Amino acid sequence: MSRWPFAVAFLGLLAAACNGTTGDALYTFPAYASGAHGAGEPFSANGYTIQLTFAQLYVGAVYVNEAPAGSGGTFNTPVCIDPGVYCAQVPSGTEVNLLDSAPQPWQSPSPQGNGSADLGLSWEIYLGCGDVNNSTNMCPNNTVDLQGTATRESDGKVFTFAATVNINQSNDGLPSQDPGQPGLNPICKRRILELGGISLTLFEGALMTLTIDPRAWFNVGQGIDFSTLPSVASPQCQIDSTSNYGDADYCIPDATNLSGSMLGAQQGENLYEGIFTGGSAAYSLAYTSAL
Amino acid sequence: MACGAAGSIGLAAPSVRAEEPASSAAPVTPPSVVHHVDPIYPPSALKERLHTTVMLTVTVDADGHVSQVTVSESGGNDLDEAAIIAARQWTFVPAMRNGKAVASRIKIPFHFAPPEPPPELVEPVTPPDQLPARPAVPAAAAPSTAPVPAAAPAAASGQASGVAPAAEPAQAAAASGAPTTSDQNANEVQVHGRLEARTHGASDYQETVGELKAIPRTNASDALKLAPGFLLTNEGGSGHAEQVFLRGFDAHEGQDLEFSVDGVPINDAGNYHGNGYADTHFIIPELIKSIRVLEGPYAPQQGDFAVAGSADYHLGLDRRGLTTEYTYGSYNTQRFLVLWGPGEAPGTFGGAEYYSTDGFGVNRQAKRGSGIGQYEIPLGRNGTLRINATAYATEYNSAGVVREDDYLSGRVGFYGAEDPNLTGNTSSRVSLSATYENRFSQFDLSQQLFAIYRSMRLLEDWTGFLLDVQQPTQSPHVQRGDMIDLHFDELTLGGRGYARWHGEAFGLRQEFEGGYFARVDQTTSTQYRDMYGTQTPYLTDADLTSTLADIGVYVDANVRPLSWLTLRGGVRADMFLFDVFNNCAVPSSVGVDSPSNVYLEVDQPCLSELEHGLYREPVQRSSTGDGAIMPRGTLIVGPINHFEFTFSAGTGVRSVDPSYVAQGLQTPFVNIQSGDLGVSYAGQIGAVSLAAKSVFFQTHSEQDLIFDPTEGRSTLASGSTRDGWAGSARALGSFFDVAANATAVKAVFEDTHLLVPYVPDLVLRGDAAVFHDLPWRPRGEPIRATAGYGVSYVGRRPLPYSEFSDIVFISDASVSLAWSMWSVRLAAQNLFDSKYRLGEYNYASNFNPIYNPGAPPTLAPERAFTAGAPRTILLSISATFGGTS
Repeated sequence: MSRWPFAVAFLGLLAAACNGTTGDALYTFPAYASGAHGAGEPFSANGYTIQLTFAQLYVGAVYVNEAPAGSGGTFNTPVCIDPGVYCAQVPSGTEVNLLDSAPQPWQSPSPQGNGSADLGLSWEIYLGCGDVNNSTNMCPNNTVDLQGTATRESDGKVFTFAATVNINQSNDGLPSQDPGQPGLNPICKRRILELGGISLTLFEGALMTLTIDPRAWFNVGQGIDFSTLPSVASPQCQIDSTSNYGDADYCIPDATNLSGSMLGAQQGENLYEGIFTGGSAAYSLAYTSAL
Repeated sequence: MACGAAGSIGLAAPSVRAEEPASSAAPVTPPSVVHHVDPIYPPSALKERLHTTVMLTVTVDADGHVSQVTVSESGGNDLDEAAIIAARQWTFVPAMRNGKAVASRIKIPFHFAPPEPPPELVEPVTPPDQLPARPAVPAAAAPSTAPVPAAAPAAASGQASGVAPAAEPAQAAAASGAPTTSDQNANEVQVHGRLEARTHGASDYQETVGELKAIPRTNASDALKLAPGFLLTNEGGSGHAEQVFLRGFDAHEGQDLEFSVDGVPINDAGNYHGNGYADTHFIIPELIKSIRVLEGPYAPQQGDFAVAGSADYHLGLDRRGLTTEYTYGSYNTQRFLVLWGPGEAPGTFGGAEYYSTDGFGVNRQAKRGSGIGQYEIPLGRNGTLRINATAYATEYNSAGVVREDDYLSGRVGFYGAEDPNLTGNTSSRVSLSATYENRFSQFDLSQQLFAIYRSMRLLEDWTGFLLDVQQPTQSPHVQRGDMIDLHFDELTLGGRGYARWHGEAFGLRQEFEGGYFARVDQTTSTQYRDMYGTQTPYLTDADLTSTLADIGVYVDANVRPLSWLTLRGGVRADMFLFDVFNNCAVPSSVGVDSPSNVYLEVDQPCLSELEHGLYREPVQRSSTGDGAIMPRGTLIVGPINHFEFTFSAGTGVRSVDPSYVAQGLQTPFVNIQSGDLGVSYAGQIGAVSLAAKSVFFQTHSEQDLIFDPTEGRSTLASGSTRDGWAGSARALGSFFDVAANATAVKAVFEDTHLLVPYVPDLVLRGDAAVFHDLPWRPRGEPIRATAGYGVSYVGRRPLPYSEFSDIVFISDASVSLAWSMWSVRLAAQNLFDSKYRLGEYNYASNFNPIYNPGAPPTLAPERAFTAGAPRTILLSISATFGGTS
């Protein structure tokens, strides 16, 4: 009996067995962050001409989400993490000089990012480190450090200001008003910037770049009224012990309007809202084959 | 035409008559066959197509050779002569009395029948679906040596000889030391045998462990590798059931493979960790006599979970007497083993073991104790009653998975653990079964009843800190940990039985069998999520109390219209019943979109509130039932001497996990269709017995089970198809036993045509044992040397996201010396200390809070693995009192 048919069939089957995939793919990639072009130039916002002289943001992490913005998942619900929908991540922190438009390598060993080749439709920036529901931010740096001058356009009065932002339960937490839903407003919802407007799929040999424009923080919502800021020597400016106010005369307190009648608390809230809702004007994410 | 004729034994087993005076009351252990030769069917008898039996009385010398042969019952001169010629070539392990070899006389019946294809069972005692089926070693074949390959040659399969093969050697040996006849200087003992299972095609592997016991095997599951295509992995620890991959199926811990031991089911029905979870660690490896693996659903006797196939362990004890063994080795591994089996009652035996180890890495400590006892009672001339009891308990730790990035960064060692808190896993099992078997003139009957109690607690942590998302009804919290804390209890009552009629038509033996299987399970499954570090439960994943029933009835015909053509098969119908009481119908982990402030269910694990505050009980009952009718058959064609061509087709079912049962759910099972086309060879070249098989197969499953690490268990996926080839070969000579097998398969989902993850595309396995007496004979007794070597190769397994695992290539080896009552064995598992990843996965997990507390969570899929064991060296010393060794 000839054994050839069996041998051929076996080899054919073996070859077939070696082919195929399970679909999708995993990639790693380097990550960069930068400020926007012109962020160091004067700009107008809310009746002031603002010139930033120092602007840093500590990005805790970046995640790309397969769920579109507003479709549920981490959006519009108390759930901050929706396991199983993340297709890309840069799960480490980096300090970004927002006044430098040159790409700044992520401050961790490369490749800093990884993920699958699923289509990402939204993304998240973590403004905190460790567990996002920790009552205290675990980042080694302040989340935001700002210094600059604001010139009131109506009279030309100049305010030198500084700001430090750290999102902790004590200064930014929003308690639930419903006793049946004590977890309705967890602190993680204040720390995660949720952004849409992308259609991103990982591929081999590319890199991710996060661009941040701090000017947009001052152009959304109510903006900042620099004339109501407390002086840096006041208690309202001592909320963050790690604050670096430089030569500033005034501070934007790291507090929310829930802090009662604290002087400048509303401006602190406005800055937070600017950071939090800056949207695509403030934040953009690119995944490209080259810088 | 050369037609071997096998001694047809089974219940018509030989009597053993020691030549020493009957007054020497010490029991005699009957001789056992080392080498047998099948008689040639004489051409003169072929003309008349004679079916007859020649009974020979054979004297076996103390050295194991045949010295004298006389005809006790003649079948005619030519047949007598053929039988005598064959019998003179047989060799034996001699009969033993008080540990000394003695001459003995035995009767060997040789049944002659004209050539016809398939193997046949002559002495039905145990249902064929329960038997691992030893090939044709005649009745005298006894305890210690069972050298014939499982897929044995002519004598075994009968296709060349057309004769019925013999019964299981060990079971065919003497059962009582009491003389039943008076003859000069003779003891005669009644022998009771067991049925051989009839083969259901080339995918039916009936493998005797035999001398391949020399290959180190960690546990009972390792014996599965005697059949082609098995890959075993284990992420859960040494007391956790092995994850089984077979023929393109990820059977996980048994969901797609029907396990049984001497017919008693092993699969846990309704286990939340895996419906069909099969933990075989209660089986003491030394008590595995043989294993029957039927790959595919081709026998009507196969029931629930027989998707990839079925595996039935057949227990027995070759080494009669009282054996004690102590083993010590790497990682402070210790094992105490006691085995006993009276020589005059081969169906009666017992064994117990205690095992402990520190384990080869972090969190791998384990302890276990196991006991198995069987008592066989002869009933009349042909009947037996076997009572079998098992008990098992283990406590072990689980290392779980290691993330590749944590290993590469040095945060966790290769043999480390992401979560060191996975301690205190337990598992226990007790069972009691009674099996009655009898043979009447035209009927063989079997009835088995069994009761099983199972309990297990399992701690696993696949994802670290990922799943504990903040829900509105929960107080604000950080991630508390994803440790799965599962507990499962099960009480199983059931039975199985059959009646088989046999008669003659077309001048050939025909059979028709009707049987049943019944099983009712009362189960409870709870699964909690525990806080990291404290093992305090904070969430309920599942809390199910279920009553499950499976009643199956089947008919199985064995029709032979022509001597070279056989049709085996029939139809099976199963009724499945599910009555599931869910004590946590709405777990808080699923969240409630619109809770009210009327019912303040803050931090409740199980909600009693629907949306908008509508009250509901937190419990819910779901019940359903349905039936499946499954035709199965095998066509066996054997016109060419020593070759069989088989075509098998059949359908099977897998019952669903109770957690998927909804009220009135239609067809609460998954259908499987499978087909095989194979050829097998069994023959003898000189003194070497050869058996080989080649099978092409295709299996379609309408819903697959795919492991989901996020849930820590298998979940339903879409339909899938598997195409593949499996081949095996085994050769046995007077001083060696070599087996090899290979399986190549491609498994794809039918909707996407993507590969089914985790299942290997190529599995190769080789086992070899050589054994011989050394030239020195201290005190006149031989020194038996044995060496064993086993090697496994597992190809790259497809992983999710189009990645592939590493290749696994490992070797095991042992050497042993046996002299008189003593034996010493040195075994090495993973001989070359290969550092390999036994299981590999791609999924999202986050263990940063343990090793990198300030880091943000890792949420995207990444590689994780379970480490294979490094080289483990074990030294064993054993002594056998009052028996053969």
